[in-house]
Amino acid sequence: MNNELELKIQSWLDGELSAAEAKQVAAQVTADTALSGLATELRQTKSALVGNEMDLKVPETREFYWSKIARQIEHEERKSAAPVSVPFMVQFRKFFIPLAGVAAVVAVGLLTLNPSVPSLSSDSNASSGEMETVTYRDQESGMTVVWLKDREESQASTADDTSKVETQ
Amino acid sequence: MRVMFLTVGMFLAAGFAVQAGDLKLEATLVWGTTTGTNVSHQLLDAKRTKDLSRIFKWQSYYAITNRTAVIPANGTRTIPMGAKCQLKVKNLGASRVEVVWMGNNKIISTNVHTLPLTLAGNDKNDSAYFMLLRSADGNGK
Repeated sequence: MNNELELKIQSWLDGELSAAEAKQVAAQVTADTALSGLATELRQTKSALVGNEMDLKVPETREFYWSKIARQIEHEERKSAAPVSVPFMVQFRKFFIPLAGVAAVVAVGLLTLNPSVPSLSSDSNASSGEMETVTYRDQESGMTVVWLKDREESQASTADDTSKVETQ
Repeated sequence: MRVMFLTVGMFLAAGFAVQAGDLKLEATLVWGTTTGTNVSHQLLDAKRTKDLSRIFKWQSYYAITNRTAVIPANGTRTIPMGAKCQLKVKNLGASRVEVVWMGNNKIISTNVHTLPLTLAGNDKNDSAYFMLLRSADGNGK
């Protein structure tokens, strides 16, 4: 018994053969006990399946059910075709965090190597005991003027001013 | 990517700014007067004369001594301005200087400021002296 003959017997039982072929197969099955046994087995299997197959019903209509499958297939195809895009913040963090670390180390290094970096607000004046200073900032020229004045001269000037006030 | 390069640029620029380069300093000793004329010295340039005249009462300003010095970052240079007068200037970077003004081998004053800077005081006969300090790299500071 070859495979082709088995398939032919199966088709004969399913009623899929032409009348001439069906007649020929029927004659072969009758003549051969092995074929007859196969035919009997196939008939029993068929009747068992027809009688006991579970009748499954989906809640949606047939069209809606298949449209869901079609959409899922399209979605999977798009997913596999689309390039992988990494969010901007993830990319930013990926580069910025190590970069910030390096920059902090560099800044600390520079400040350590150059400890005399002045503060912008560290203007200072110191004069000898005989002098006193007055600082003036001219906004128009952007110039800082430090006026040095003798303490004696300053005191004399103050005394003059006081006497003028007293005489008035 | 642009943000990354910008960030790197900012940090590098900040780093190099802290380092600062050499300072080319111009120091000018000026005498200011209202009355007399001084033929032995040149008048100060118009721009600085105008600035000083706007601030002070004196109208005539004469440049007595003019010196330039190149001071490396964190370096100090002594600049002689007269027979008994000299400046010790330290380059603190970012146009900031520490100026020690010495007269007769005594410290008159020590000042830390950003350029341009003028140190001044009264002199005899209702006149005044001025020590004008500015960066000589062309930006006028």
